[in-house]
Amino acid sequence: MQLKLNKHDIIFTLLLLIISVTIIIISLNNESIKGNNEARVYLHNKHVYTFNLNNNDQSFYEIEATNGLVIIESKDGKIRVIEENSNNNVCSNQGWTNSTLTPIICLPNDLFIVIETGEEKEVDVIVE
Amino acid sequence: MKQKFAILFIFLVTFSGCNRVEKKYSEKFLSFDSYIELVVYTNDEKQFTELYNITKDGFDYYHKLFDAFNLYDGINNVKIINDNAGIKPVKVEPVLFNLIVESIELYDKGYTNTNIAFGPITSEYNKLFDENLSETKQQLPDLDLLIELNKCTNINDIVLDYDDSSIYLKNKCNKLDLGGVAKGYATDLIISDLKKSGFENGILIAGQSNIYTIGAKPDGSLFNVGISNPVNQELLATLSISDKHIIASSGEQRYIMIDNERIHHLIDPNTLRPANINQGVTLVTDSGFIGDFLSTHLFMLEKDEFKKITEELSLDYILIDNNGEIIISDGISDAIKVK
Repeated sequence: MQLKLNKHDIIFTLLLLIISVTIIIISLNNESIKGNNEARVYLHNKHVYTFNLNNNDQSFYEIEATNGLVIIESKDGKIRVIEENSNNNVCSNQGWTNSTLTPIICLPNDLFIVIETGEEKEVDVIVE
Repeated sequence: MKQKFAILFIFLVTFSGCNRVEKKYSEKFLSFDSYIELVVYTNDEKQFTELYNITKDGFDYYHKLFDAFNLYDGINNVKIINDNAGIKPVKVEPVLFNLIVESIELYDKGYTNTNIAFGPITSEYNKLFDENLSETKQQLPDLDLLIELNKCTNINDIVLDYDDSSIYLKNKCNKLDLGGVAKGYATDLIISDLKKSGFENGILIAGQSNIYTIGAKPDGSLFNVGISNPVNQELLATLSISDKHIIASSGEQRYIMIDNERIHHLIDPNTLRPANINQGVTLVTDSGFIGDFLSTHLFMLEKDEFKKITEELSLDYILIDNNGEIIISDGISDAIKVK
């Protein structure tokens, strides 16, 4: 049997094709967010800096916070606060982290750092 | 032609179904001396913004109201009540009045390790956590001083005027400390507002010891809450749960080391020293306030008394005793996976 396509059939097929391709492109774009590891630094509840954790290079960020200078170091996909001024130095004593579930929180300096990957993890949240 | 429309219709319905998968939105901020994070699964970005604003404004406001250390314009807060101890009653917002009333009611039921009149003692310990003391100066508050101050921790010294919704502390040395109850209470109020605005699937982290989950993830699975070991922060267990508060009390949340001894913020009213019976208690409750209040009380109890109360109140819990043994209540044993 020979398949006969009229003009409407062709337009219809092309329409389906265009919609399919558009949806696939949108889905792929969403996928590409996954695996993009970054550490976001917030001061006074404003996002002020982003570390790219995908490369393993050492990098530093310094910022003047509530109690003075805070120095943050990133290396090998991890992040830590190396210098800050507070009574018990809770956030610099916390050391390295690469977990989305354990933000670094420097309450006296009104600063915190969260790691974001865009990936869903087995554990959604940790209670401590 | 009709056939083509039918095909196109089925095609579009199928794909629009794919796009209806809820997106994950989250925002975080510091408030209430805590890290707060709201996670919402929704299709509607505007709805998320509304829910976030409720959360941010709510915690900022309740923090001011329950704050015992700072004054704010136009707000009669806990600091004002304390500053007027032995002087005059202070008229307060119904929310603050009710929190004080409900805390006294639970205390009067016998849960006396959480005492909102314990301020004179906790403020001595708070000096260790808050003041900039060099290590050589860091030492435990003198026990004789604490025994003297403990005369000012009688909860009956809080005088309630229901007609006027005012609070009066009888003696100048009285001091309220709502640290063990305020965040749970605020969380309940905020969650009630969030639900009214359509909060159906997500997580509210109100400080890392105070978690609330609602609904499920887009794939239908429940949220997994990791329970960490209070001593080394390793993951002990995972709890799959919804529409519950998960609230932890442990000696690891706020502490300093003095002579290799961990001095934490949960002070036993019987010894006036940091409680050292358990490593951590996590409660799974319907109310943030009840969870906050009772997790502090239960943290200071020996196992027999702990079990008696949790059975009486049908409370679900994860108890980590001082030997590191994990005890899980029957009610959540199916929902928990121990590592």
